[in-house]
Amino acid sequence: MNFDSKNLRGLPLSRREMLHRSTLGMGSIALASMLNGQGAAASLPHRRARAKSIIFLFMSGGPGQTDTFDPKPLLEKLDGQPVPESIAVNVPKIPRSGVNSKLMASPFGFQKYGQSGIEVSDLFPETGKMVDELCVIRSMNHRIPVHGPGECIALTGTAVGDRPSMGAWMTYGLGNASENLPGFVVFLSNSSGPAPQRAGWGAGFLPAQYQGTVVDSASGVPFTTMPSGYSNQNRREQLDFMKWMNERNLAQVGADSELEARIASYELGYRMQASAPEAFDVSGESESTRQMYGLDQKHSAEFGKQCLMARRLVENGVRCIQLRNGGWDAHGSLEGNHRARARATDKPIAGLLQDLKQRGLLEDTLVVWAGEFGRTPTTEGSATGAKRGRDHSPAGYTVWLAGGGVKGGQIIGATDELGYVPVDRPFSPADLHATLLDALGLDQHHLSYEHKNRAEIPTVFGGEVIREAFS
Amino acid sequence: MRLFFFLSLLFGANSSVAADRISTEEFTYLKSGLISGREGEGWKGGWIVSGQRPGMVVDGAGSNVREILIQGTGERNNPLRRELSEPVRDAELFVRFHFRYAPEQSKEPDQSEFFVMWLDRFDGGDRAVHSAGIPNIGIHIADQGPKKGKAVFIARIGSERTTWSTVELKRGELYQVVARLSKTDPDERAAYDRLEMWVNPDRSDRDNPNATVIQKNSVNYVRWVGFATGRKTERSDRIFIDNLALSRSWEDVLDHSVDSLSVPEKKESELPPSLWTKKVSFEHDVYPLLKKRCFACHEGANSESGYRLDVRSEVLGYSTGDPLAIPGDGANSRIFTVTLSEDPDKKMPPPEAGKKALTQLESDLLRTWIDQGMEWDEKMLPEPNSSSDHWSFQPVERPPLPSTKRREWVKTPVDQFIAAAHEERGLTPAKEAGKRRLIRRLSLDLTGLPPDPSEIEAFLNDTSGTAYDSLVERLLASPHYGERWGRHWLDLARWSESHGYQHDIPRPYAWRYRDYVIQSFNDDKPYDRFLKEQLAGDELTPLADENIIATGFLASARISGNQMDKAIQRNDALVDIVNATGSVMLGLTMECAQCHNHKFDQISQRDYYKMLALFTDGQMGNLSLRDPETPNPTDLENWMSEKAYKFYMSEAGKLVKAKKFEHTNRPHTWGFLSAKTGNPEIERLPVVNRDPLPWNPEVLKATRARLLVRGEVSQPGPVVKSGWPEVLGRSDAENITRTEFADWLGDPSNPLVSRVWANRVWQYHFGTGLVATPGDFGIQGQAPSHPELLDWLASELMENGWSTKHLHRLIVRSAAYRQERRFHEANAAIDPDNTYLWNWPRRRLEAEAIRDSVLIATGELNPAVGGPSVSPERDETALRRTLYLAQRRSEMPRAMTMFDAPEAVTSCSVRGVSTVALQPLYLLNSDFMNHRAGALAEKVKTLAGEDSDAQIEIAFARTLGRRPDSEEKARSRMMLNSSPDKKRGLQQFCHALLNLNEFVYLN
Repeated sequence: MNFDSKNLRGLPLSRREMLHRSTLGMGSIALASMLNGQGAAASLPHRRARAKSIIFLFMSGGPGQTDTFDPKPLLEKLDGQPVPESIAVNVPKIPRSGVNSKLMASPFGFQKYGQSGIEVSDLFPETGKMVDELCVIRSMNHRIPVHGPGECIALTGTAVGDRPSMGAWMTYGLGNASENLPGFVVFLSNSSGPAPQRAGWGAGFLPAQYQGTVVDSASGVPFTTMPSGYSNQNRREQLDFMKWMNERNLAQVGADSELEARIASYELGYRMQASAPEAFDVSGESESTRQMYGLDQKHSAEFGKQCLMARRLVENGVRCIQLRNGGWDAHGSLEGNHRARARATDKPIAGLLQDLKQRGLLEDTLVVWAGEFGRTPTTEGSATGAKRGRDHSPAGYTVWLAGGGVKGGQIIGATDELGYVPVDRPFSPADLHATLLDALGLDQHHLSYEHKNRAEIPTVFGGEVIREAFS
Repeated sequence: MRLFFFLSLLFGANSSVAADRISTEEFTYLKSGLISGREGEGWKGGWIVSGQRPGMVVDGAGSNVREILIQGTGERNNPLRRELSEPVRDAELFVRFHFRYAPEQSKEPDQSEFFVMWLDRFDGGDRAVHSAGIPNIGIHIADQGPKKGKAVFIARIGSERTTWSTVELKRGELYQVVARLSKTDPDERAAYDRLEMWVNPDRSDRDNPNATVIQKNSVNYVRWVGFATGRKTERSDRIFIDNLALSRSWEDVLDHSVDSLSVPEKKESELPPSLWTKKVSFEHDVYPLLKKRCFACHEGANSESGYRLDVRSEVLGYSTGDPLAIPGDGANSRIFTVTLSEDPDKKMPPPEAGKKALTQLESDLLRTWIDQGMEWDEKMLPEPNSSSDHWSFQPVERPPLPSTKRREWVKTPVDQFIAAAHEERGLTPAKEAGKRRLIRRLSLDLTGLPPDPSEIEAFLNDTSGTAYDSLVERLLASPHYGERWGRHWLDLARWSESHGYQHDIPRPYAWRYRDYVIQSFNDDKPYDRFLKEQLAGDELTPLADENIIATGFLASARISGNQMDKAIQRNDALVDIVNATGSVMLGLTMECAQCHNHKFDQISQRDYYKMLALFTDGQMGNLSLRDPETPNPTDLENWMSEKAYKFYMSEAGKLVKAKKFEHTNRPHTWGFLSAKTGNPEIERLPVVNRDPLPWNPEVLKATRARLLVRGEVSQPGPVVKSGWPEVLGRSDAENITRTEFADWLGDPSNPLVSRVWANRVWQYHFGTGLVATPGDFGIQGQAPSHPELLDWLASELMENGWSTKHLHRLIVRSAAYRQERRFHEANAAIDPDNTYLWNWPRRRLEAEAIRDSVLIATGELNPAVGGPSVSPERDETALRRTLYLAQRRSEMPRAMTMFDAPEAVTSCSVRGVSTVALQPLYLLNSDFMNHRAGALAEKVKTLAGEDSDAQIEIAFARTLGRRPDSEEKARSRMMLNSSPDKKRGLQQFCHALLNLNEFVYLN
């Protein structure tokens, strides 16, 4: 453990340290105003922000790019054949590149949507209708072909899993606009597949308060529901009693900011408890809204509810919301797998975009759809027919952005004719992260945190802001 | 030295290697202005220039030669780039260009240079970063190393690896930069995973690059090359480049045209024959030269340069695998070549320090000496008995007890040290805490459980002079003592019940090690024996199950489930073991030395691999136990979460199908076994993992441990023998066993082991160690606040049979320990951090103690000791102590993670204390806590009946261990009566008490 040895002996902490230790997910600004208006831990946006909040739709397991947003007609022609040498030779030699396997046509058709005419797979008829809002980036790539480290590079920038998540950096940089809710909220779905990587919402070397708060779609922020038998007044009485006792105790021992912070944390918790259920309660939403998010259908209800909650959180000033839909890891039976995953997410995602737009929130809210990697254009193993699936492929994959100042209806970058590796405008996770930060008004190079004598930045050595993504 | 060879190579030499040339660009055909030509060989098209700020063609100084001017934009820019006619996929690729950073024109010193050439598969546009996995060579400000803050030449395959050379950029100088990009795997699809870079190399420098970086996540072919400026390149910076070439050979890529480099004077074309013909004398010729010209910087263990020339083995590259001289080959020995270097950054003695160069005669002397076999006089310059002045490496010496004026305050000798420090600083100790407080403090500290009201009463009623001491003895004899102090050890051991990493598959019988640790503390097992069992339990005779289980310490390392490279999978686990052993037992941050000699401590890379060599013939696994009496429960589903159990069974099922595993009812444990030195009667049973590390005894037995150059598994260096760090005494005559290593740990002459443990014991009592960095006793660690006290405790430990309980008695019976918590303005002004213990350093209870305290308050705790863990589903029915909750790394119990319990990834010496808003929500609203509040209310009602005052008294006694005063009583009554429902009111009141600062702090 790297631990500052000072202030361990139970004496007054510095104000700054107290700020660091005494809250979770509450923005430094909110806390600061509570604690004698002391300054925030990090600066405000460095430049004009296009977006105020971000919703990251993380598709864990790795959706196949050639089955979703990167159609490859040549795959159909070469179905069952080996990868032509001219393309194979460019495929990085990393484990499970699948380059010696047989090509596999996408089981899904593609259609042009919207004014932009961007092709979207039949998996996503609803999202397709929103394609003019999407900026599809078809040339993402990295080199990590396994889920855990892949999820880490996708969400933290390196595969090791010891650095802060992007959400933590964003919360650190922006503070929290919500007085009563955590600044960084994370939903983990119950679907099967690789285990969620804690680093993906962890604070790394940043103070713990910037880590994501994991909530579930049934109850929202954990432990915000009072046990049965409690009225608000009961709780207030209880808190007042505790405060009285705690302050008395404090007066006996003399100055002690750690104890003071603990007293304050009860008030903070109380506010969170008061606001969170309402923020997470979708029962008041109209029937048409619920339908828009697919809440009326069994297969899309869970993710739909999370998307709907995400919108409500944005309305409440939460900066950073990460949704994790697992189970895209289609090593076999890709057709069935991707159909099921798409049924669970297509309507909710389209509903989210549509709803944000009609409420005028989309221009302030950046929505990102991405997996930890894509899938090989070839099939895995010797399966045939509908049993065929694809292996992991970080060498080339697709993500999309919408809202938050993004110029929709455009495609950036391209992969080769089979969808294996980028041939134009290749981007790394660091480039994507630099772009997301930029949209929030944060300059990757100025958002730094001193750690072990190094001024660490979110993108390690910097990434390229993908400027053409924005209008 | 770059010019020594060129004359012989000019003209004729070039044509012989022309076939190796891939592409060339000399820019001579261009006109001043924007680059628009398409000439040069080996390119697909012309140069692409940036729309932000393009590279410009300018006239080179003083001739008709053209060069290219590049300037910054204040952000990332790619001023020019070009596509090769064919992508290059060969196993190696060389590149060279000339480069000059013009002198600063403004007076302001500019400390922010950045300029690189990149080699990529794609252009990426004007602003592409070409960093992630892309080879870059150029210059940047070093953010670490000896040249930190200076602009130096770098090699990087971003974004995780940069190598900073020590060659500092000098403005105005013309440089020839050469790089070699190569593939470990020559396959055309494989990655260019190695990048070497030279600045102004000579032909003979082939094996001595200025920087090397290895990164497997790199490009697999190169089609585009380009130059880039960055945020740190200023608009006014002027960078000139010229003479770019890509080639397949070292010979071809070096540019030997004299005119292109601004060389002050020409020298001989070849190495002249040596002026020395007679036999060189070490004593009369070499030693005086070394002493006079080299030793100022290259002598002694902490030589600033990192290279020492006063030890023959170090000249031969003993600790790094990187020799400075090759006996018999003077011409290729670095200590000779550097004396002739033209490069001021390489030249020795360094001209920048105002040192005169060696005369030719002197240089030749060195060369001849090496040619003649590098004879050495061991009497004049013996191999050092490597030692260090650092305090923690000095032998433990029992100090005399200091005298103090405050004799009446002293209760154990510990107090004499504390009082002396107080007197020296003018501090006044706080008075002794009240008896109620003391029994609560002692009980929580020694057993992790608060006293129940009857215990408090008994203590209050014992007015004898021995009441306190008897209490200490009762608590030390309690079986719960081992649970409390064993948990401290489990933090250090990074113990858990699963493999870790992505799949995190359970280790079903890892709980046996937890019980072993508890039992060892309860038995007050001598600490040296405790270490020996954990390090070498499989080697010890006679064979005992207890010892096999003890190897769970080593086997607590994580192991990946899907690492296909078995060498990496194995090495990662071994590294985990070395790091934990070094930190836990020796208080050394060994991990730094995995890739290079430790920067601060006298621990070489060789030392690291010597320790690693202790473990290379062994492996973690399920090990059979022999005692027929061994309890052998098999109801795994009761001690794994439902999710973990299902996952474990499905993974096991796959292996059963593949005939790699079978379920067994034979008693076994999760431990570590050597194929070579482990007792052959121990049977290793198969392991459930997604892709298990194969167990191959014959291969393990034959494994010879090697130093890994730069820590890379793919770069095995010299064979090393197992042993301990040399600063603690040489040990490499022969391989030693882990048993011998443990004997060395327990030897009274070992300066670290007793100090480190005495310090940890102190830390667990007071919250902070005498050394505040308990896992780092090295130079970067904190110095001890009371050095004599630490040594005295270490002596006491060793002289009393390594008894940990002896240390407890010395500490908890002291007056220092019995002080009350009280702020004191004058003391705080002198010692704001309470380093010298002028009052009780209150601290929050650990996660386990908080939950356990709740269960004591309600009277529900099931006090059973040991056995399989409790699955989360059974938590509320079992109501066992917190340390028995199932410890799967990815599913740690909420009650623990909520309050800063460690993640069991690396050894945890100090737990953090966070105060966050989810904690009150958990303590107030979770089902677990609500049920406990209900149980407490029931208990209170049973004991007190309906009378409010009696209820308040009982509730205070059960939670805070004291009586309420009259104000508190009144306030409590108000709280109780706030609810019309009496039962509910009582429960809410009880619930509030369980949340008080006083309840969760050790006061």
